[in-house]
Amino acid sequence: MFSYVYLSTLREFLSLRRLAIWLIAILGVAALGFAWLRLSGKLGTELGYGTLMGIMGFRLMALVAAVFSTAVIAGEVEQKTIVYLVTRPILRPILLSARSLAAISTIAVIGVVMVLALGLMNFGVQAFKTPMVWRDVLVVILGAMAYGGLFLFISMLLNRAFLFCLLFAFGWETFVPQMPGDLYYASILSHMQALTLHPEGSYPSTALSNLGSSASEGVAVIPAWASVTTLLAIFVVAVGLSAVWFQQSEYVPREDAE
Amino acid sequence: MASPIADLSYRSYDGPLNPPSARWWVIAKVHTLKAFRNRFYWLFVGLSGWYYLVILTVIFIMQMVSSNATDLASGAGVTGSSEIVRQIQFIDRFLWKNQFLHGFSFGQLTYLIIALLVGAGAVANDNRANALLVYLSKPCTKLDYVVGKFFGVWIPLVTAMAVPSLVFFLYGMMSYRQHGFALYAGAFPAVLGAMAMAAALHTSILLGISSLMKQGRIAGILYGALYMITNIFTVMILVFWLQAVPGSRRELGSSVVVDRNPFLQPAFYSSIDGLNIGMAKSLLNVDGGNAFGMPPDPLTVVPAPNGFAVFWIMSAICAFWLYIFWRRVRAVEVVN
Amino acid sequence: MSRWFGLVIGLNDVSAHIGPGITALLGQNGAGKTTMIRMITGQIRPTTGRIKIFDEEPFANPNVFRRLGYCPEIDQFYEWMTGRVFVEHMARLSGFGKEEAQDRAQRMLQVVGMEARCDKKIAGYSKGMRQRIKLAQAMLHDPSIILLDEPLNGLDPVGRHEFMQVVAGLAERGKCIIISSHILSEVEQLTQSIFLLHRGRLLATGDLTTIRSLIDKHPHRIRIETPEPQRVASLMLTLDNVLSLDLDRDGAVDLEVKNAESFYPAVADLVLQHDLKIYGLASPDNNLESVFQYLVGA
Repeated sequence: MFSYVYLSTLREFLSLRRLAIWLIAILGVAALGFAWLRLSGKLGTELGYGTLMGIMGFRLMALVAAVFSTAVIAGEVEQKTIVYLVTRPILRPILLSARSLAAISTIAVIGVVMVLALGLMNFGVQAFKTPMVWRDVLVVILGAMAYGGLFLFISMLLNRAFLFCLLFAFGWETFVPQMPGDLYYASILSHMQALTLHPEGSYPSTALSNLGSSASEGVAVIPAWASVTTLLAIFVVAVGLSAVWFQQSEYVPREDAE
Repeated sequence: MASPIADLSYRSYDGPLNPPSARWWVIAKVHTLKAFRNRFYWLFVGLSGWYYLVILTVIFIMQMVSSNATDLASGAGVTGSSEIVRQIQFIDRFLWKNQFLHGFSFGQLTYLIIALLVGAGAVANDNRANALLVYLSKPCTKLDYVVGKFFGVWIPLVTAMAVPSLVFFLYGMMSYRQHGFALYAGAFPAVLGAMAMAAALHTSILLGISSLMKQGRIAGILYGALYMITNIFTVMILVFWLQAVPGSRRELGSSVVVDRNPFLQPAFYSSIDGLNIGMAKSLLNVDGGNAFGMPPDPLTVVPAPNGFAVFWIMSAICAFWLYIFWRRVRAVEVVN
Repeated sequence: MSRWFGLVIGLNDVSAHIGPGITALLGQNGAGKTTMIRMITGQIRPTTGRIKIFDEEPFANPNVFRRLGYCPEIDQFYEWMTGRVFVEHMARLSGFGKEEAQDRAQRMLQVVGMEARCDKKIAGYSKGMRQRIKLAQAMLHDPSIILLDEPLNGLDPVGRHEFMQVVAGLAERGKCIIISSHILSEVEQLTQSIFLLHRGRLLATGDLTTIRSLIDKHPHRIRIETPEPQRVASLMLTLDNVLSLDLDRDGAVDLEVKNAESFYPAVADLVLQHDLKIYGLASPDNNLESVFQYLVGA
């Protein structure tokens, strides 16, 4: 049953109807990145690639995660189709874990495509021989798990979860890594950046960073094992709590769906 | 006696046909009140003013420090302490006009979220529920519907943008007049103008997308994605601006000049929030800088764009999406 | 059992046992029908009390769902799927293998009369076609209990007739079928067993004729539309059932009668014997609202 739910959900999420917009976005991002790297003279450099991943790749992935994680259950509730799922002879935790795994797989697939697109655009075919690119593939998979799990949990707790996920992905994740002290530990993006092999200076700071440590300074000090453990822990805890929540909560089609 | 086949009892109301003179307002009011009753709306309105809250807290703390330092210095009779005190007369370094710009700029993400909250389902939900049929069966024209929906989203949005700035303005006029705040009192109406344009841009695009959908959630996701992808582009341009082209910095007497690609400045404003910020810079007649009271660095700020150009671009985008919205408003399928 | 939604009581102290056969769950909008169905189908829990299906609590219980089919009131689907794919998908979620799911979906689509149209996308389906698809997904795993929430909404007369035949066939096979509706005449054709809710409270449960007979102790209002009202009125006065009679300005005859069941055959006899012209004969008391009024007022 798990495999059927997983595969059918994956088929739905990876349908061209849903993927088209993301493929166009990736192509657009890659084209813009190419133009930018050409203009700045950083084309083919690790710094150029690292900067692109930092300011575009990881952000786009967070957006993808917000969209697909909220489709796991919150989307079904809003479409009112949840009723077909929760009245079938299948344990709710199995249903939730299979669907969330499908969402995370989708986020990871889109993330990996993006990494490869940016890698190819920057390094050409040499991208396949660049350890930094392959490391980013792993980082994106871990990030997909962490973002996917966290956004899933947010969507279990709150109505209009997409709005809160956006706030997290582009508000929290922008400002928290740049706040003074050790606050960057509380950001998924910091842990992802800490795991990459991007050269120093890849994550340029903005006005906020003047208040305290800059993102690149902060993430540099997080050990890799700590980041991997944190990202996996976020995934396991968030999906586990979501499963418990889903098992205990009542889900009926909402009349105020928007 | 009328034939039963031609019975027009559907429109048989024979009292005085006296609808409200501004029928669009009926629709706009419903949406506006619905938004105002939503607690999340006010939560995000509060969040959108976070920059003002931070800056007022920073000013308060720095004033306390300054006051204590003055007392200590005069008590101890330390000579030369006036220089130290002057150094920490933080508030006198403030460019008040810029604070309105930063308050508006740092609130952009929350404005997006409020726009999604208020407007994503505005037309999509009507499409799903066939509510257009109900609206247009009343003495209400297509124009009433479009205008009503527009203001139903625009009013809550512009209110959300204006409330924190208004609070900051009133607080500033009461507390910081002696520190130069009153000199920039005109900044408030200027930033209100920018907010009106920004709200119109959000509203038009959102209504256009919403009219193409049958689910508010999908409309919200599409607009959110469009906004964020264009925003990522602006961030990328900003990074390029900050890092500048290698070798482009050169000393010119006592100052430093950076040669930048001429496309960089307009490119920075080529996103939804870029246009909004560009309009605010133009109307406030500032380039930015001095965020959080930091000393302004002209090399790190992107100069204001041409205000007229931004106005016409924003107007054209609004017109395009409102046209799509207009085209999508169809009450019933006519069966021949 | 009872169920609160905040300060609103959805279902108030309802206690009942529902066995095999067709049971009509009746009530006006907001009476608590959907709340009750959602509790039976394990979507929500009772606030107080317990609900048992095959000796198990239904909330999020796959053991119960294996033997329970549910046709919801909502009109939402995965619009991009075809009817066949949707029903097959539901079959797979019910635990059937691929071939078995395809087989069952095919059979059910035949049963609900959607065989020819099931390969089109649901987005293009009419209301009636959607109802049929919902019915198919509810029956495909051959459940012992089938809950149908307002299943006749949107069905045309032919569709209603076909649907009723399907349901009657299922009942004959010993299934327990619960149909919710607010239109008494619809379900009257299917069952005599009713479960009457009003504002969250159970008003009456049991055999319809027994409940009706209680109403029959009170005068029934009947309106006869005829071009010859005075002649009809004088003939009606010859019947023992008629308690009062009134000629209204539109030329109709308004009657109050007792024992309505014996009155109708007597009227038929009179019409035939005296060649009366009758345009219409209706009883405003024969609807659910009147039953409510009587029971609430009692």
